[in-house]
Amino acid sequence: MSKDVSEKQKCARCATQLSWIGLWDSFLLMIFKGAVGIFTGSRALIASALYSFHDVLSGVAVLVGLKIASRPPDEEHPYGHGNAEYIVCVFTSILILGATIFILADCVRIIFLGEHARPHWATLVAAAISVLANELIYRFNICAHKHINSPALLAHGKHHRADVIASLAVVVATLGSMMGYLFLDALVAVFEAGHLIFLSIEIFYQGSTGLIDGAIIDSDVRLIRQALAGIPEVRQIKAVKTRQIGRTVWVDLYVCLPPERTIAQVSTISTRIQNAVADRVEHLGSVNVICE
Amino acid sequence: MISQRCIRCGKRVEWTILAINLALFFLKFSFAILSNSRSLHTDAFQSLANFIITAAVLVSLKMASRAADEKFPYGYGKVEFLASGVVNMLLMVVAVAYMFFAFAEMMIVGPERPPRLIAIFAAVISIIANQMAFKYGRCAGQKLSSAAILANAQVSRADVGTSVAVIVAVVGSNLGLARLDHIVSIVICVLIIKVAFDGIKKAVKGLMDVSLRVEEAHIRDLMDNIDGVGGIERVTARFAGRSLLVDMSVSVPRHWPLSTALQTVGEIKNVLHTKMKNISQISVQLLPAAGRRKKTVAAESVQTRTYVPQT
Repeated sequence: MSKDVSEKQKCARCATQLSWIGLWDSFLLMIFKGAVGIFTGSRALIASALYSFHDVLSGVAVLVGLKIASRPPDEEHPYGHGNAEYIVCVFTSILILGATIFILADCVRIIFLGEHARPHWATLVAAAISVLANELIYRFNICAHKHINSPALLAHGKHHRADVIASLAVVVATLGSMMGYLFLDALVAVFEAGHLIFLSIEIFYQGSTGLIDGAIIDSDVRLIRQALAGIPEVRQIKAVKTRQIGRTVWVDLYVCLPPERTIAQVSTISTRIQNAVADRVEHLGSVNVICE
Repeated sequence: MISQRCIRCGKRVEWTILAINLALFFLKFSFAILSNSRSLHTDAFQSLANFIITAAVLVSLKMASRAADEKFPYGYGKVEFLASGVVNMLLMVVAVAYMFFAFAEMMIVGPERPPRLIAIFAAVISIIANQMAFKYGRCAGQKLSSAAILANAQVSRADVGTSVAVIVAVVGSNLGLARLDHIVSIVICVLIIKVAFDGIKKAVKGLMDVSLRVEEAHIRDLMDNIDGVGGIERVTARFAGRSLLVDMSVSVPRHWPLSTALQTVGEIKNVLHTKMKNISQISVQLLPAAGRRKKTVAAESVQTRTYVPQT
């Protein structure tokens, strides 16, 4: 029993360390692969470096979420700092998108002009190192995920798995071009760039939905309406407006209460409504009850 | 009051600038090939980038004017901040890339044969067209107070600077200052980066809902003249594009029935809507005049709840 508990603690500690290790791993690989890619002229390796950049981005977004976005509201930011996380997502996804389109255009030019770079053993080594390092991090993540059941770890693990596959493709492409199929390098780069464009548009979409004050998912809005239905004084629900500020949910409730009640009573009812909503919705930032 | 003429103008301004940028791109690109001028070549690509950026802003204006719905209960106004941020971000990235290429070319390739003077013709036309586009865009942007249109006008202005630099560079390199071409374009890039950075800062402030002190103070002033308002506990306001969303909590006598208090709320909304035209939504929370006492009661009740299972 006691051994079991200590094992669990070990896994939890391992998990927090993993997010840092994964970030550094991706960051170093990004620089390493990028430098080798530019040096050897392998477009596939440069695209693979952008994959690592994508991993760095998701890691940094998590850190920003922890350090800045979770700060409470202050004088200058009455609605809190949550949107900082979305802004980081939007701006960095544009950076990735720009770099990827640049690579893509370069590859198309190479394929049409036939100016293929000669394969180089350094490309092979860099890609192989990337495969090994990412596979290792992936295994660690999955191990920790199984023990403490964190969805974030699983998502991180999948990022690294995608990186493994991308780097394996580079290995195959380099071996292929050493055997004379020179076009393979640019072809692999085109596929990787296409996938990256898809991924960065996804991040951009999520971030911008948050910044434009998108509502929370329908099932959660229904939960809030259920909470209001449990309070007899609420005669009519005019509107339930929700938005997400980073990871917190902010709710404005427009309700009709009995007009003959005094303000003191209305205030107690409001507090009850707020508590009822707080019981059902996680990560609540604030609830306003507005009588109409 | 925004005049009808300005609203019509605001609808047309973006399309006009879009057309100007596309035309300028073709003009500069063909003249760059004719004159063998590197700087005019990059200038042409900046016009192309502007064209793409303006198209994005147009989409944002279309989206921002949509009414609030289930998915976006506070409306789409913030699309404008997002577009403004993205436009400036792209402008900055493009400028940094230009600066890098110009620097690399200056150090590695070194001075080449000077470009033909014919490049000046395209640059002069570019200056005139962009200056007109900038004036036009700034007028419409200020009248309609639209961040997106203003950001777009700044893009045209940056292009004027680039074209001036092209003339200086072409004349200078023909007079024997071989490296002037590259040095001037690097300086212009720095200016573009500064303009873009300011634009990003503004957009981020809008997206972060930074406190609007001027508007909030104005709202508090207007509240002084309304009967029954015991005090204003909190006023926060945020911009969604052009429209202002106001959240406030006011204290009213605790023995008042809700119906009387709602009349006061109606009056508050009336005053604010007539005095501040850009307010699109006002949320008023009602608190009993001695609000502080009620809060401690609530805290006590929470405490007793936690003590129950222990006894």
